[in-house]
Amino acid sequence: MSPPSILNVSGLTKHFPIPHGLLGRQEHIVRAVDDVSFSLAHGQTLALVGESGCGKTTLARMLLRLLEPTSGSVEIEGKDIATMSKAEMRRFRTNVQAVFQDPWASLSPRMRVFDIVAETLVINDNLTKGELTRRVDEALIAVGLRPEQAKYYPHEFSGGQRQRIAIASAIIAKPKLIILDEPVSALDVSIRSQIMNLFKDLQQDVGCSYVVVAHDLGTTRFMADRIAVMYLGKLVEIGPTDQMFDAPQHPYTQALLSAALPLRVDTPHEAIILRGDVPSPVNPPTGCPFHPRCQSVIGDICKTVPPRLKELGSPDHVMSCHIDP
Amino acid sequence: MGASVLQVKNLRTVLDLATGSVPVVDDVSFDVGAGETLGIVGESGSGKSMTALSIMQVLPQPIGRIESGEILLDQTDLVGLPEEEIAKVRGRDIGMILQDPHTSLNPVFTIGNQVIEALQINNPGTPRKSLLGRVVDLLRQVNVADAERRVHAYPHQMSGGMKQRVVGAIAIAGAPKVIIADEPTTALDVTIQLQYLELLRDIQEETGTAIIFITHDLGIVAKLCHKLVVMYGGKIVESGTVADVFRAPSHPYTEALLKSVPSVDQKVDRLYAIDGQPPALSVDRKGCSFAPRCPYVRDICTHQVPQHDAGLSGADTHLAACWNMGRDR
Repeated sequence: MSPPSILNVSGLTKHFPIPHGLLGRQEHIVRAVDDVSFSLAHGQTLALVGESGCGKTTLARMLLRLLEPTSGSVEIEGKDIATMSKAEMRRFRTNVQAVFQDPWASLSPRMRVFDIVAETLVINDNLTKGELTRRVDEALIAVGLRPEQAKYYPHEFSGGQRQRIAIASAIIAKPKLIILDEPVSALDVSIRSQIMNLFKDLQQDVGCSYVVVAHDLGTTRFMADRIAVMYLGKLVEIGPTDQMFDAPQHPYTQALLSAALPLRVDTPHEAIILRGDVPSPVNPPTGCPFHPRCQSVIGDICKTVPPRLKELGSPDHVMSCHIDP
Repeated sequence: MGASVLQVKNLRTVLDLATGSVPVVDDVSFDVGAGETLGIVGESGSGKSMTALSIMQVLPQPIGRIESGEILLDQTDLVGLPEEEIAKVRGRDIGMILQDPHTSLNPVFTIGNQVIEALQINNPGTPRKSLLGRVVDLLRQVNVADAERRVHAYPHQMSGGMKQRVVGAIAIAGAPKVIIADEPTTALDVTIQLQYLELLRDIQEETGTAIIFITHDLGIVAKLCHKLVVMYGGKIVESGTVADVFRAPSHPYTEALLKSVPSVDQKVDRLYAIDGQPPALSVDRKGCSFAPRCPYVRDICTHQVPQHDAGLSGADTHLAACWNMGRDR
């Protein structure tokens, strides 16, 4: 039997209606996330990649229940988060945490580091002052800060340190799942590797799982055990990181991953250059949404029939494309 | 590659703050030839953007000023020229592409109007209507699909990548000798970034313009640039051809940068990390600005500024400013 999963997503869909026409009486529908299913095992990391507008952030927000899905479900350890009782929801809010891109926007400028980091515990647990201080100290040390820095305000820290504070407040309640939305892209290059190592160390120490949204493909390769590639709200391929990078199957995955610029000058960088931009999600192309930009169109079937997800050798690696693997 | 089009010599730019005059660009020298691309690599606060603003002489006012040094465009020093003269250089001789295409374009004018404005710098007094054909040509040159219709579009009707192409069209409208591109692809998706880099390369092949490409991304430098300078704390710590610097990174900072970027070629368990943070602006600095983070730091590093010496590859164009050059590290 496969190891129990922390996260099960099935048929997850989010449609945003946008008013259109005279007096906004007609509606256009943006299919931001369309029938996405996957699962994530305990202690593992799944990366969501794709171009802007592909729905990866909308998906992440639904995992946090910051957005209600149009249809489909999100289960944490087998419990559907949409039908949780108040008490269960409280537990969910400690078990699932998030770290966002911009450490300048995500920390309240009027709270001291101690209060920011302790907030989850103050709301959810009845701890004594001494116990609270001990937990905050522990969390700060775990992210490489000093306990005496708890008395300062966020503006007194650099970007990398602020991101450490955000991480401390995410891990203090010992969550099982942390959603990382572009966790290092606002940081300087020399700080990014410090923070990425920290995420890995924490995962080993605490055993938490990550869903990481990142557009930097080097970050993705380093952090993720599995990668899910999204295009116009749909999952086009999902599989183990090494397989995805070394032998991507879907034409879009091939193009996307080849756009990563390697740090070498001795061998030329061969890339598949996609034509044009991502089409509008209001009016996506018929058939396979990728066909207008695809370098491997096999015929009319691509323009008329939406492809279904199919297995590539194992249930672990699937893609949606008419091409035979 | 031709003779130097733009030569920067011992440039020193300061910001006059309440605490004193803080050098943000300190003794920076480089040159770039026709058809050549120079990468300027650095983190925030390294002085890479301030170097670009110094060349264009659009430093933050009233606090920013060039204290000393020369900026030679075809042997003419731009430093100290009156504002009317400099204004003619901007857009005509030097084009600029900034990071965020959403803020570089004016939202209330059509993109055709904005490209025409750039064309009129070179053709003052020409009626706008007669320039429209030229605008369409320029938009085609930067691969804007359906250019005849798009000239009448407003910026909000276009994607980020498309807008950045329009900014590119404005930059090349005056047929400049130099294009300064300050992180032009940072706001774009990786697939669109790749299209844009190819576009810049095509434009360069057609027009022979020199490009100064400012970035924090060493992958872009490897892909696009011929040579690079690495900046840290306002100074150049290493310079050379891209091939020499990538094969034999000589300054500990360059070495660390190259090692700390996660590879897309293979999976590693741990990244090389540089401790500490980039230096803050300060009035008086002693020694090498990288010393507090350097794994090879010695006594001399903390109180004497290292000079530019030959880098490890031995090429006379490859220089690094480090006290440990040639010693065992």
